[in-house]
Amino acid sequence: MRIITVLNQLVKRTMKSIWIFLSFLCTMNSAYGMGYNSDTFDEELNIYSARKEALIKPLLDQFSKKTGTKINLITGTGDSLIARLKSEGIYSPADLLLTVDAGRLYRAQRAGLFQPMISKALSENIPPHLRSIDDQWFGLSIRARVIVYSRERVTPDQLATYEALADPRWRKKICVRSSSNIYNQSLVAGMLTSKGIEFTSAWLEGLVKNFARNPSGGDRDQIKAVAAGECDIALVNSYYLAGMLSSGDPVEATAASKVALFWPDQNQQGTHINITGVGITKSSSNPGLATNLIVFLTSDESQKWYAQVNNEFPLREDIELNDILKSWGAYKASQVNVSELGRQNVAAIKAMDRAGWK
Amino acid sequence: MEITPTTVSAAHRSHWLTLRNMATCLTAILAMPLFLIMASLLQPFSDTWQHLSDTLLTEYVINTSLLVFGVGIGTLLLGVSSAWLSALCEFPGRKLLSWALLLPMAMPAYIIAYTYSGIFDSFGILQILIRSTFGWEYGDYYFPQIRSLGGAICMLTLVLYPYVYLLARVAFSGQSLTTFESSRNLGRGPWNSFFCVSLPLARPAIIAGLSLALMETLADYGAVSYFGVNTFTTGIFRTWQGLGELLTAAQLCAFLLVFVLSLILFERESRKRLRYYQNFAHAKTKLIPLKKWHAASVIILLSFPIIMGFLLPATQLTLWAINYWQKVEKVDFFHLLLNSITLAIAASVICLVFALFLSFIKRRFGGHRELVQTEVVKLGYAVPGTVIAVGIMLPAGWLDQKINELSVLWIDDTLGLIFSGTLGILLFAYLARFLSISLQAIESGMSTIKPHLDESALSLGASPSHLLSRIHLPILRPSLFTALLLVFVEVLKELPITLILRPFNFNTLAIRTYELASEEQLMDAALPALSIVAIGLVPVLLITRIIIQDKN
Amino acid sequence: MNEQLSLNRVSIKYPNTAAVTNVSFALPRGEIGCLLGPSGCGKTSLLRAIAGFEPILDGQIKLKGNIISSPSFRQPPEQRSVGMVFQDFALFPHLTVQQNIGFGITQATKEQTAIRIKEMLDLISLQSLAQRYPHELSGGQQQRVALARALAPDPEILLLDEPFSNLDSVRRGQLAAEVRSLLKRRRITALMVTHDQDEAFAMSDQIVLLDQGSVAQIGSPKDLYHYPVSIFAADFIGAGKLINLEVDAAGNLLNGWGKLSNKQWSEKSGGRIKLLIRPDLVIFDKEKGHPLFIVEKLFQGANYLYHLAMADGQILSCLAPNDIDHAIGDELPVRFKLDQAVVFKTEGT
Repeated sequence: MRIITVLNQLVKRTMKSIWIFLSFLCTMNSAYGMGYNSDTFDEELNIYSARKEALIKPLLDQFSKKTGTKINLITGTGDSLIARLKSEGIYSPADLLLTVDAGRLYRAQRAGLFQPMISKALSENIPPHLRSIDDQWFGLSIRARVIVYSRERVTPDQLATYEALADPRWRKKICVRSSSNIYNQSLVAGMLTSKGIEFTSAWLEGLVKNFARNPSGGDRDQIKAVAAGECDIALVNSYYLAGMLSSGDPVEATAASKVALFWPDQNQQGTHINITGVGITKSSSNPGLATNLIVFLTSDESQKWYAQVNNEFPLREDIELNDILKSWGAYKASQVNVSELGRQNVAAIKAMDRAGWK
Repeated sequence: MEITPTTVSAAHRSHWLTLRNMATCLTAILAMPLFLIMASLLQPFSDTWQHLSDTLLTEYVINTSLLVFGVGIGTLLLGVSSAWLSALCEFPGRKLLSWALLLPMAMPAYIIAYTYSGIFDSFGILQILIRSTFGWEYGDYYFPQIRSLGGAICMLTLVLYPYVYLLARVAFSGQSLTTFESSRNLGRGPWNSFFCVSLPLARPAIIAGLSLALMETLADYGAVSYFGVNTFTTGIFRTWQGLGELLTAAQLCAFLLVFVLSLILFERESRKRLRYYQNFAHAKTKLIPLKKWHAASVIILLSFPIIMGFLLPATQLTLWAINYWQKVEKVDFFHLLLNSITLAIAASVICLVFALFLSFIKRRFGGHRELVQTEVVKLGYAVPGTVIAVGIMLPAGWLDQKINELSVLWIDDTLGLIFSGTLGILLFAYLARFLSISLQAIESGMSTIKPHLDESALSLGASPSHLLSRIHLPILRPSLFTALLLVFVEVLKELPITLILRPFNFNTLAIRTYELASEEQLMDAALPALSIVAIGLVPVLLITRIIIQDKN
Repeated sequence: MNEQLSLNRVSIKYPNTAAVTNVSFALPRGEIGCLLGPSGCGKTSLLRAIAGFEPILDGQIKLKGNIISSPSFRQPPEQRSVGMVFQDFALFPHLTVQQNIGFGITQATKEQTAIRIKEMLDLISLQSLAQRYPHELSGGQQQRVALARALAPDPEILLLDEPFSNLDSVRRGQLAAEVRSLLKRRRITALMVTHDQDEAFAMSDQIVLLDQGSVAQIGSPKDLYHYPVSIFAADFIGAGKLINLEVDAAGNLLNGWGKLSNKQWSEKSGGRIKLLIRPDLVIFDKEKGHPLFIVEKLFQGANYLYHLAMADGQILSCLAPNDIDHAIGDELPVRFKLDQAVVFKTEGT
C-alpha cells in the first residue's frame, strides 16, 4: 500500500511539472491577457469552433459579460476538430462543438460525440428542420445558396430552378467553385434527398458541361467572374454577395453592383439552405451552462447580430434584417431537415466526382 | 564502422551507448506519424479506393506529376541561372541583387496565390485596366487563367526557387574558377563550359535545393486548393474531410510518401560524391566582368524573380493593409505578433537542439542505424502538415486515455489531458516536421569538420559533451544560425499543424491570415499576411549575411 | 621566323592582379621557356594573359605570328590553341581520367578521340587508371593527367603554372625530368611559371627572370647562373652569397683572398664591391686555405654544406665532399675560385 501512496505522489508531482513546463508559453500568453482575467470568472466553457474567430467571438464576449463565464476558444476546420474530440475522448475539455455545416454535425453525431439536450427554450428558438431529430445538435444561423447573375447579360425571367442550370442554354456560362466546398456538396446532397441519385447524376452531367471554367477560387471570385464577363451566372452563398456590397474595397463593391441575386426553386421546395450549428459534447462537464450559451446564441438579440453584422439569415422570420438582406425580398427556404444533407454528403461527393466536377 | 578509440574508458563507452539509444528512441517517437501512415497500408482497402480509381486518382497523379515537373523546371531555371550569374559575374548592384533574390522565401505560397488572384484574375486590377483602356469585353483578348495548374506552377516556382538559388550559389562560389578556366582553355566556349563543368559540379547542391523545393510542392495545400488544382495533397484532404475516410486518406498519404522517399533516395545518390566536388578555392575567385549591355540584361534577368516573387505581391498586400489599418484591433494584433514570434523562436531552438544531438550521434557512430534514423527524420518535411498533426494527435490522445485510466486506478482521480491540446504537443509536431531542415543545415556543417579533430579531442580525454561544446559548436556557428533561422521562417508561415493542435485562445498571424482569407476577406487578411512576410524577412536577411559571404 | 610565341612590350594592370610593365621576349618553336621570379612579380598574370584570361593594357602577344592579345583585341581562350596545366591541376572531379583527357578534343570523330586518349594515356603511362576519378589518384598522377589533358588537343603552346608546387620534393625533381623529356621528345613549345629555380633549371631552355613586373634578365639557365646581370638576379638565382668586399686599383681583394681578373675589375682605382660567391666556388684546401669558422653544418648526403663566418661576421657557404668532416666551431681552411665569381661594383663610397 505504501508503494502506491509513494507512486501517487510521484505521478502527481511529475505530471504537475510536465504541465508547468508544457504550458509555460501558454501562461506567458495569458499573462499579457487575451482580454480576460481568469480571477473574475466563476465558470468556464470550452468551445471547439469551425466558425472563424471573428464571426463568433463578439457574441461569446457578450455572453461572458452577461453571465461571468470564461469562454475559451479553439478554431479550426470541422473535421480536424472532430478528430481532436475523438482522440481526446471522455477527457476532452471541450463543452461545445460549433460547425458551419450540417454535414459535420451529422458526422460528429454519428461518431457519438454529442449528448442530447432536451430544452424547451431551444425547441422554441429553433425550427425542427434546423436541428437534429434527437436534439443532439442545433442550428444557429442559415446560409442560403443562391444564383447570382449578370445584370447586363441575364434577365431574371431566364432563371427558375437549380435543375434548370443543367439546361444547354447555359453552356460555358456558369461559374462555381470546387466540389471540395461543403456548400456545393450540401446543395447536391439536397438534390439527392429530393430527387434521387439517377436524376441528380444526369443533372450534374449537364451542369458540369455548363461550367465556364475549371472550378477554382472562392464564392467571391465567382461573383467577380460574373462581373468581369467570364461567365453569366454563378452559384454562391448569399452572405458573400452582401459582404461585397458593403465592402470598403471599391473593386469588390463595383463587382457586386454588376450582379443581382436570384432565389431559386421558389415554386418548388424552396431555396437550398445549410446551417451553422452547435452540439454539446459528451465530455462536457457543464452541459447546463453549455445549453444556456446555445439559448443565448439563438435568442432574438444574437439572431439579430447574425442578420445585421454577418449577413446570414436568422433562424426565425420575425428577426429584423439589415438593408441589403431586406432588399433581396422574402424568400421560401427548403424545409428538408438539414440532417438529410449530412446523411447524403458522401453520396453527393461521389456523384460530383463521377460527373467530373473538379 | 564504430570509432571507439582505446583511450575511451568503459564508463565513457556506456555513456556513449546511452546517448546512442536515446537518439534511437527519439527518432522512433518522431517517426510515429510516419509509422501510423505506413501501417495504414496494412489495413483493408475500402470501397472508396474503387471510387477514387474510377474518378479522381488519375487526375491526382497527373496533376501532382505535372506540378512537380513544372515547379522543378521553373525553380531550376530561376535558381541556377541567378545563382551562377550572381556568384561568378561582376556587375553593378550584384550584392544587392544577391540577397534580394532570397526575399521571396519569406512569402508563403498561399499568400502569394491569393494576392496574384487579386491582381491577375478576370476582375483583377490588370484585366480591368486592359478592358477600360482598350474598350474590350472579357474574351476579346487572350489572358492566361491565373487560377490553373500553370498558375500554381508559377506561384510555387516564384516562392520556392530561393531554395535552389541558395544552395546552388554556395556551390558555385565554392568552385574554383580554374576549373572553369581550364575548360575554356581546352577549347570550350563559356556556355559549353558552364554546361559541361560548372553545372555538373554544382549538381549535388542543386539537387539538394531542388528536393527541398519539391517536398514543399508536394506538401502544399493552400495554393493548389485555392487554384482548384487537384493534387495528391488536396485529395488526402478531400478524402478525409469530404468523404470522412481517415483511413483511406492515410493510405493515399502513404503513397505520397513513397513518392517522397524516391525523391530522398535520388538526392542521397547524387550527394554521394559531393565532398570531392567542392574543392574550395583557397584564393579568392575572380569574378567575370560583364560588358555594359550584358550587365544590364543580367540585372533585368535577376530582378525579374525578385519583382514577381516579392515586390509585386508585397506592394499589393501593403496597399490593402493600409486601406484596412483602421479596422484592425491593435491590441489583438500585437498578441498575434507576439504569439507567432515566441512560437517560432521556441520551435527553432528545440529543432536546433535535437538536430545537433542526432547529427552528433550520427557522427560519433556513423552506423547503419544512425543513417536510417536521420533519413527517417528527414521524411517528416515532405509530409503535409495536416497529416503530421493528425498522426500526432491520435497517439497523444490514446496516451492521455491510458494515463487517465491508470490514474483512476491508482490515485482514484483523473489527471485530465496531459499531452493533447498543449503547446508542448504543438512544438513536438513542429519538431517532427521541421527537424529535417535544421538537421540538413547542421549535417552540411558537420561534414566540413574533419574526423581527425574528433579523434584528437577524444584521445585527449574529451567527453561527448566536451567534444560537442568545445570543438563542434564553435566551428558550426554559421550552420547553427542557418538552422535556427530557416525553422523560424517555416514555423512563422506554418498553418495546418498550428490550426489543428494549438491550445485554447491561442492564435497566430498565420491562423488569422487563413481565417480571414478563407472567409474571402482578402483585404482584411493583408495585414497579418504582410506581417508574416515582414517578420520572415529578418531571418532571411540574416541568412544571406551568413551564407552569401562574398570573398571580396 | 620560327618564333612560336612572342610578347612585345606587354603591360598588364588589373585590379587584384600583380602589375606587369613592358615585358618582351620570344620563345622559339620546340623550346621550353620559364618565367621565374619571386611571388608577386607578375609571372602568373603574364601566363594568364597568354592563355587569354586577362586583358592586356599595352603591347601585343603573338602566337605563330598572329596577334592573340592587344589592348583592343582579345581572342577568347577557347580559340587560342593554348594548352594550360593549372597549379591546382583543375581536373574535373566529375569526369574519369579518360573523360578528362578527352574533354578538349572537340573536332574529332569518336574513333579519333579514343585513339588520341589512348595515345595520351600511353604518354603518361597511366593506361591502367583510365576509368578512375581524379580523387582516386595521387598528386603525381593527377599532375600527369592534367598534362595529358592539356596536350590532347595538340595545342600550339603549353603553359604550365607552377606545375610541381603541389608535389613533394622527391616527386618534383623526378617528374620535372620526366616532363621535360616528354616535351622535348614531342617537340612541344612550352612556357612554365615558377618561383623555384631548381625547377626552372631542370625544365627550361630559356629563362625570363622577372622582378616586380619587369624583365630582370633573359637567358639560358647557365647564363643566368654564371652571368647574372644584376644584384637581384645574382641574389635570386643559386645558393650563392653576396659578400661586401674592398678591392684595390689592381683588383686585389684587400682581405688577401686573391686577385680579380682584368675582366672582373677594370677600374682605375680601388673601391667597394659585392662579390657573388656560390658554394661550389669555395674549395676546401688544407695547405693554402684561409681558415674560417664553421657556424653551421648541413649533411646533404654526398656533401656537407658548411656556413662559414668571415672575420667581419659575413657568412659564406661552402660545399665540401662528405669526407671533409669538421665540427661546428672548428676552423675550415678554404680557397676561392675567384675567376668564376661575379663582381658588382657598389655605388657610393
